[in-house]
Amino acid sequence: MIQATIDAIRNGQSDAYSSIVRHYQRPIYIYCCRLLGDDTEAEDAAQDIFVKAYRSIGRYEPTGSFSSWLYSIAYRHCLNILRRRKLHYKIQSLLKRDDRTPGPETLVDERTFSPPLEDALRRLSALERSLLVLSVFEEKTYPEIAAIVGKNPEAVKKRIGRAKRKLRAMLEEDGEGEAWSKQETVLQTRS
Amino acid sequence: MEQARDCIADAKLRSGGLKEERFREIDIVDAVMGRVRRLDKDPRKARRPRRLTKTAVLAAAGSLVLLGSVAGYAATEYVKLKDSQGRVVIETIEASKFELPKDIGQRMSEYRDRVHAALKQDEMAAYYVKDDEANAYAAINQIDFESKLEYDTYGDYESRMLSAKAPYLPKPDSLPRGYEFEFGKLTPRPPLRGDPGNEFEQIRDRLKSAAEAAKKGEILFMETVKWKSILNSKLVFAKGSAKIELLATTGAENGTPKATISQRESDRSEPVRLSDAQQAVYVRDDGSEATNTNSLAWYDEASNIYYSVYADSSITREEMLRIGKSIVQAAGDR
Repeated sequence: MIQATIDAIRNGQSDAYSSIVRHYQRPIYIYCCRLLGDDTEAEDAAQDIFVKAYRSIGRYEPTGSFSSWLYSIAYRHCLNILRRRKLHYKIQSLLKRDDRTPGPETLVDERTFSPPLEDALRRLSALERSLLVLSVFEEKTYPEIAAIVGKNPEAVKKRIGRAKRKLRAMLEEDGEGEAWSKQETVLQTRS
Repeated sequence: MEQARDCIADAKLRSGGLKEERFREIDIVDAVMGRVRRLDKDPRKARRPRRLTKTAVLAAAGSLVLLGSVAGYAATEYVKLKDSQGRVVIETIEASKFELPKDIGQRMSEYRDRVHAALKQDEMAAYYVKDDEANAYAAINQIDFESKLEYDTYGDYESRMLSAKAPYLPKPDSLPRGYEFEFGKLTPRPPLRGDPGNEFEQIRDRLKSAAEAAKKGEILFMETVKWKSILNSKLVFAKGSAKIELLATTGAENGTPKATISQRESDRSEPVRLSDAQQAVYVRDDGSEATNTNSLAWYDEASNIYYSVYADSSITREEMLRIGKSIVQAAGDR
């Protein structure tokens, strides 16, 4: 079904692409929200990702999952934004000011993550944050994540494990680890 | 142990994150498709996908495709015609070698025929087909339109063409010997996506809701649509099985008018002149026995109408130009 749509797009029926955008816009937007932590930026990013995907659709290989292919474009796009943002923050801190005021939609909407979690996630590298989002929220399998980030599944599994340990350490350090530790104790008792 | 710890970490993360249903709804389809269309128009910004050769002429969002199934020889050269403001209004482009899978094409044609058979004279209908496979190749998740404004005599055609203020297309004075009027047809402008009042979206939603609520086995869903203006005027002349087709299509309602003519690798196209002020593009394949191997197209800037003439290879270049010149003359004399 999706392949038929892609064939049609490749052969000039660009309007058929609207069905792909319609189908994937929400998951991709939510994925961007979780990676970028900013609603407005996520919507803009989602648009850019779909335009990039359209431009690259000739390179899509039907042997893989289309969803993973689209997520890989989203992943690289958001990674670039996060890297640029990191550079921006560095410059801002040098200038001792931050003019990055949130837009109205950001203010109105609920936060993507709770403040402590957001803070901890922000301290992870862009890759680690992406891996956790894909694994925990998007509930992708290791092979799927591997296809998205362009690494092998075993390496992905190890990186995700390390990222989770790192995150746990950060939350515990911030006093958010209490509930976590309790849960863990119960689990230890049970096992 | 490690696996159990991971499960807890996941639960902790999930509980600290916004649930999926709490994210707001977005609709970026129009914004993305607008950018996609702009990319398609500018090959410097993006590689243009090959255009699907169609037998229909569409005029949506300022762009239309003129049929030109023509083949020829020599290295392919493409032709561009510009208007008085220097904008490209007609160009020949590489023809796509893509064809719809036979069974899909046949099914789509059958659906169209069924809608057509249900229409009365002067009616237009919108229809939706609950056939995922066909939809994937055609107007996916969208609706299509069919109409019946057909005339068996030139007099009937002419009077309706004039009363409906359709694109002006008269019978040419200089038809090749033996060709006689076969039929005339007018095609109303269908509601288009994004039109003021959202008529297209409302019709689409109604048809899709009906399809969703329908019993298993029901495939075709249609409703008649009140049309407001005519998009195409068409005349067909025949001599035995040979045909000459003339088409006049309203150009873009807003934005830059532009038509493209498919040109296969070995086609030969050339700019020609139909009057002192009117340039045209002529495309021909002398070697092919297929129909429509001979085509001529031009844009009348004053009336914002695209004209095209299609014939088989039995019609000479000079005969094609004479047909074109007589239409230009008649349109100018109005």
